[in-house]
Amino acid sequence: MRTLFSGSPFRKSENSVTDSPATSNITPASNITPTITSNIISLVILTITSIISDLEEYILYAMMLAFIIGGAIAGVVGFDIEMLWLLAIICLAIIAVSLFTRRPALLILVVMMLGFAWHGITTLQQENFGGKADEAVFFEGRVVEIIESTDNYFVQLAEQESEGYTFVMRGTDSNGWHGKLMIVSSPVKPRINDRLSITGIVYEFTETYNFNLLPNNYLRNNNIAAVIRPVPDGITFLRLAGVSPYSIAESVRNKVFSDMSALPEIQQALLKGMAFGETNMLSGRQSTVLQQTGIMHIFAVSGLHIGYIMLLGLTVLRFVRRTFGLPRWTVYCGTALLVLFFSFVVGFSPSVLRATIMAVIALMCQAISWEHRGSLALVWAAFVLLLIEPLWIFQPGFLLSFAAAAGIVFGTKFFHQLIPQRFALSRPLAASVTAQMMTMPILAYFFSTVSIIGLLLSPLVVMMSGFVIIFALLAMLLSFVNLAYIPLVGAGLVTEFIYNITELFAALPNAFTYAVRPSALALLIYYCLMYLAYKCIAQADQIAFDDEMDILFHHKSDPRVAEAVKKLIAASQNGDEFLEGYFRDLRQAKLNDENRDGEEVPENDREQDPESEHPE
Amino acid sequence: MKKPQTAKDLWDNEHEVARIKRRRFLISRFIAGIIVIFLLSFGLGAKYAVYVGGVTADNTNMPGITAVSDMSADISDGNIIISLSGTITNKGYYSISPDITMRDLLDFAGTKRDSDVSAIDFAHIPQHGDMYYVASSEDILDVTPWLQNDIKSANDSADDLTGEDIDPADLININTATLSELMELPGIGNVKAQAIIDYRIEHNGFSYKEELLGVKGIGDKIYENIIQRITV
Repeated sequence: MRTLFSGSPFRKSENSVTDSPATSNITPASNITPTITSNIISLVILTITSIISDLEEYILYAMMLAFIIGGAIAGVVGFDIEMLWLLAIICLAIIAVSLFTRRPALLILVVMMLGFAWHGITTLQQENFGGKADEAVFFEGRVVEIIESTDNYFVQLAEQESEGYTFVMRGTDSNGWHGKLMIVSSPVKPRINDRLSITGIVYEFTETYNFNLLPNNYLRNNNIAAVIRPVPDGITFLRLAGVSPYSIAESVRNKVFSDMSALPEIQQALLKGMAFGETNMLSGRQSTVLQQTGIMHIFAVSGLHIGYIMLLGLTVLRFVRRTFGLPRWTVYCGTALLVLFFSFVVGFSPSVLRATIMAVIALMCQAISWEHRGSLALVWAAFVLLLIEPLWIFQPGFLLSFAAAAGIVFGTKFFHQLIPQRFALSRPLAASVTAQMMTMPILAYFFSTVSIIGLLLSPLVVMMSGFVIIFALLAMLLSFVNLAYIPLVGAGLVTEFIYNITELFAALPNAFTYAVRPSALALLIYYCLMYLAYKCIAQADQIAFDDEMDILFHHKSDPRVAEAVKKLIAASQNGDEFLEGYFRDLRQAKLNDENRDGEEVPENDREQDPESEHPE
Repeated sequence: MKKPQTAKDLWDNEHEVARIKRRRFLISRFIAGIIVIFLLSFGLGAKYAVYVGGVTADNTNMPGITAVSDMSADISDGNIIISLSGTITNKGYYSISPDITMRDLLDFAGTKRDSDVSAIDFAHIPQHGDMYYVASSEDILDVTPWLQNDIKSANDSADDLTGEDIDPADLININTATLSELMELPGIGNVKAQAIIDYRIEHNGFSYKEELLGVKGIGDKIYENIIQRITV
């Protein structure tokens, strides 16, 4: 596991082979006849053993990753319900084997199969929807999402024929099928959590105008089985939603939007996009400029926004804490609440959900003084998201969000080493470059555009967008006392300034290029090369050392700690007492350091989290 | 663990420490792994149950049966509209052609594990406006006196549904019957008859026959025996 995340696999492998009794039967390379083949074989065995022992070290995270990979495999190869029993038998066999051979790493295979089945059953459940085109459906359920952005293809399609509202419901149809359906051309606009019963006709789609996405891809990735249009008087409200975080968030949103209407139109359009992720007011020309310069990701709420909200929350609450002498955890819990408030107002798209989960994990770890690692939080977030919506795994928004976050979490550190450190913008630049590099193939795959100028422009825009996001949050908070207009004026000016700069950059020659859709193999090779480059630099770099020291101080169960323990026991007659004291001193020193630094910002990287994201 | 005195003790101690650590490491990993697998399997089971609950019957695409929005929907000449509900897979309103038999309809409906189809009249010819309800064999409170079969036609009168011919005049009205009249019912003695009268006084009479089940001492068995012979 660790080889996948950070550090040096080879340095670790030597230790793990010699340390772990279960792997000691592997013949060291030196004992085999020194031919090239045997050396390669021993290297492979060494690597596999090191990976297995790494997997055992971080078994929980390895399992989550296996679950995700299993889901992806199911999406590619397909799943049949008959497989379920076969999988169950294989899983039981693997569990038995792993118990007998004392190899917990084998359990990871079981979780991978469960991930496979999890994704597969969700797909089958979606396909199992019985309604055929132009047939009547009787559906009863709860409204889970209201689609307001008019750049949604299905909204456009429904609007061609008649005006109406579009929303998504989860419930049960008259055949006993349970799942999600999209309702278009609804004459009434429900609120989230309303319970409705719908009589409608299944809509038939013959073609899609989004030339790069497969027909109905949007529906499939969002686990929506079909689109239905209610018959006249076909909607009955069974129960109205009460006061919930959704209803409060909706009223805040509406208030801010109504205050925004006093601004000039261009500022309104840009502000709605930057602060709320709504791009429906942007003109065609504006969207094109933003896409070609590769900064469209600012116009989809993501980790960047959540990072700025965290920054603001931490700064303000720390000041409050110092002034009133509040306990330490209040700062982190307060910031987490602020992040949740913002997320509720802008709505939970995959990227917002990802960023919120990661932010809350980071803040909670800080609040209870646990060690926190961005990489592990990233796996947690992906696991939780795919547990809820397994089919998101092939959604462009989800992929872009996680690719960018992975780039920032793993890559920023070593990219930062490559550029002059005195340069004030080196860190945001490094974060931006790695995020762009990670998302570029995905952008080329889904949107066929590769922006070159974006590498340069993105860090600049990302920093300026901080003002807009913080002003927007202030507007949301001030909307309770009807003062939202004040911060909105400032935000509007900044957005217009950003757009003017973007237009200048877009006019440069060779600002962007169109790309052919890369094949799956090309994508695989690209990411393998990225991984290898990361490994090479990380190994040669100080990072590996830092990381190892990190593990030494925090994970006593690590084989290298066992090694250190042995040496210390041998060196000292006092044995365990000496060791206890040693670790106690270390921990105390670390705590002292932390207190002196006045609590560092937990995840500096995410403040400059320029995730490339395109709205669908 | 005793304090190391000699080089051999030291050696043994080291191995002991390594062995215990390895053991603890394995146990903790196995526990974590099994818990994760257990929880995921549980979730998967729930997903599977939801899937099975809505599995469409194989014969959904049976020619001659089309889903419609309601009884008044436009249909082609000669077709009729019926409604299917109860313990079946394909509930809803359907337009069917006249050559569809009861057997076809039942095949199309897609019975479930607990559908009670023990006494269905296959010779019945569906009529326009018929509403068919398939009972569940697990319905303990299913007290409606259906026909000899469990698929019931709404157009048929209630009298046709009861298997035996009972003259309505012979029925005992439990709201007006005396103690001795009630005791004529099978399984009702002095005590139970008195309990019925007490219940009647306390609750201002019976609105439905099913309310008898609320009377102390009257269970499903007795209720089934007397249901055909009483009225309200």
